Amino acid sequence: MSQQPVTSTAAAAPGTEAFAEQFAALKDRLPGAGAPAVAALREAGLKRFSSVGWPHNKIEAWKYTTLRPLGGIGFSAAAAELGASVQDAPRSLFSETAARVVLVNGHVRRDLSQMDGLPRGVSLRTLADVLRDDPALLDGMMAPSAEDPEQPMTALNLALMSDGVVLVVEPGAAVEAPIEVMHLIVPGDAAPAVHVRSAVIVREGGRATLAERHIALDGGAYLANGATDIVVEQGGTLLHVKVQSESADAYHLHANRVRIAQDARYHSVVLSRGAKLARNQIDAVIEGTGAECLLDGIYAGSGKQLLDHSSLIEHAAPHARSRQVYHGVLDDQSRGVFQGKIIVRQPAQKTDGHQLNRALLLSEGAEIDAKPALEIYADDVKCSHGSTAGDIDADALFYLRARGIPEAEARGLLVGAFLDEVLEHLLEGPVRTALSDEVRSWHTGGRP
Amino acid sequence: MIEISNLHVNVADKPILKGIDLKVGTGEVHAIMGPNGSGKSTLAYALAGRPGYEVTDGSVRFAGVDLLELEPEERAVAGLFLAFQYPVELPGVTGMTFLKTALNAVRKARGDSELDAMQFLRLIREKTKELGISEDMLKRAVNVGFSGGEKKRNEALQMAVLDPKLAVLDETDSGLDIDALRIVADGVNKLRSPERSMIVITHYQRLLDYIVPDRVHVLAHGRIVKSGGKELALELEEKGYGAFLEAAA
Repeated sequence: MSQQPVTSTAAAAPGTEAFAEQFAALKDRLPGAGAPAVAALREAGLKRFSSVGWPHNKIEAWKYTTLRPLGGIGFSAAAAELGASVQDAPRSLFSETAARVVLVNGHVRRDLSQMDGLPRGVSLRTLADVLRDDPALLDGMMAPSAEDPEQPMTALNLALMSDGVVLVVEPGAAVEAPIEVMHLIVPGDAAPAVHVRSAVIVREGGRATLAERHIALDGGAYLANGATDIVVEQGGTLLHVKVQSESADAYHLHANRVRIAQDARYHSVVLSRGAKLARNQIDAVIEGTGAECLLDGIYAGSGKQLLDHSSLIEHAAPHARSRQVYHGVLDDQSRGVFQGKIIVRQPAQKTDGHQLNRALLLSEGAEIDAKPALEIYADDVKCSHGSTAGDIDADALFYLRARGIPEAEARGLLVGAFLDEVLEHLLEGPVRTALSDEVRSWHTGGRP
Repeated sequence: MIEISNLHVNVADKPILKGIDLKVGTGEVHAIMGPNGSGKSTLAYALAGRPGYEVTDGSVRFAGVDLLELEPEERAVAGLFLAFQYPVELPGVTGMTFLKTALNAVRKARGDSELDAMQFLRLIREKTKELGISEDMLKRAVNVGFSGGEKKRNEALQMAVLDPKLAVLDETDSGLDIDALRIVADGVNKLRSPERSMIVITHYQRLLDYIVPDRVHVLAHGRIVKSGGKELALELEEKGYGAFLEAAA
């Protein structure tokens, strides 16, 4: 990807003026306003967004998912007053968490959070605090968002980021129970845009589990434009879980950028059920030998939803292992998009990289656009990619019915098992159980 | 118990069963033998209501109801059980979940109370003990990675739990070596009772040494061409199907 500098005299792309105005009005009050480096990053982010505009089909990374229509919506800056009405946070997914952070409309609410009591060597701070007190920590990690001409939304997030969490795990430190981050949105009638940015740094040999949830407390429209930057250093392990349950009228975007060092492990499990249009993007680079990158996804679309999972894993070092496994069920006129790419650079011999998307299409109108891709420059590798789409297995369905299980229940059982299968990549334990319960609560595929 | 009259069944528009008449009384075990392509599995699937098996004529009366009017799940509720020749793999669905869901669905449809986890576990303990099967089989995903013998034993366990009035065993012996065959046959024999009928479909006489039938019927070209006592099976073993095929043609 070329890195084109953006001149300040470039004409703004259509539909970007509203955000440019918002930025001009807010920039002196956004976290880190006092730090020139942070201010410069924000400016760069806005310039990139204004120049590229809302992504559309002619941009390769957005081939199947255009956001052009969003330019006409006029999202407002998220209103703090609406957030004030929230006095209780929803129940946790897990029986035990090491910490809980609750954000409402893009701002951390300390009164609803429990951020203390983490083991030594594990620090959890708000993005607002870090941008104010320790901005150098994140510079290098965030800067690429302004530079990528195919990622204007991540650049916009960089410009307008309001808050988020910064998790740092020092060498050898470990926290077993999940750290849960709840992103709550109260849209009201204002169609707010919320830009949350988080960062996770797991240093040598460190270990943690981050579980993010996205929930709307009422049914209005909004834009949740999030980004997370992650570094897992040598021998470190990060389990990164996400459950997306946005409102039916919401637009949810989340871009993750991950760097994985030698012998380190990054395992992402994404569950996507909500939103009118949702895109979860993961761009991971394996920078050291013996590393592992596992990206799992489970999605269920109904109505006219568009659920997009785009992931890219770049093997820049040899002897590393990657997996991208996505299982989705699509009903009504919903649409799934799967873009799974593996790039194997020339030094990355003995790469073991596989990617698979399986979609169950439960109705005539449901559709899956899949673009699996392999770009291989090394000559001694084991790679595969694939995509399958089809209805529920007829033999399995008959077997269940022949045993007395009514058709609707049988379909539900088979769909649930199909989605749950992905979770077998997790070790048995509270995280797997919680996610399994969540998937089963979706009750998908139960119609005859 | 079951009365099949003049049953004609098409599969993919091709006539396979061309007028089957069969009566099996309560407590009786009937064997259906025939060469490949005679329609044995078609009969089993047509009784169970598998999609794609089109009844073009005839009727089936089972336990006082018109079986062909019922959906597959309703036939199970009526008391029919088909032991599949090729039991289906169900990744992600454990034997426990499968059986509990099935049993409770059937009980609910019959107006009985559903079993809770404890009651169900007790029932499983009882049945696995009776059959000499390990409970561990039920912790695994149904039939996934099972050997041929394990799959057939699993069918027998399901039959024991669901307690059907009529069990149709579709080539229960296919793919089994002699030891596995003996174990599966043992299981089936334990389920014989004066209240239960069985239709045992097989190509080879050998199974019938272990599951001794009351009546044997020879199926050829979609029709029953000869019926007799258990000696008929031995006669087939000696002479082969050839003589009966000529008679049927």
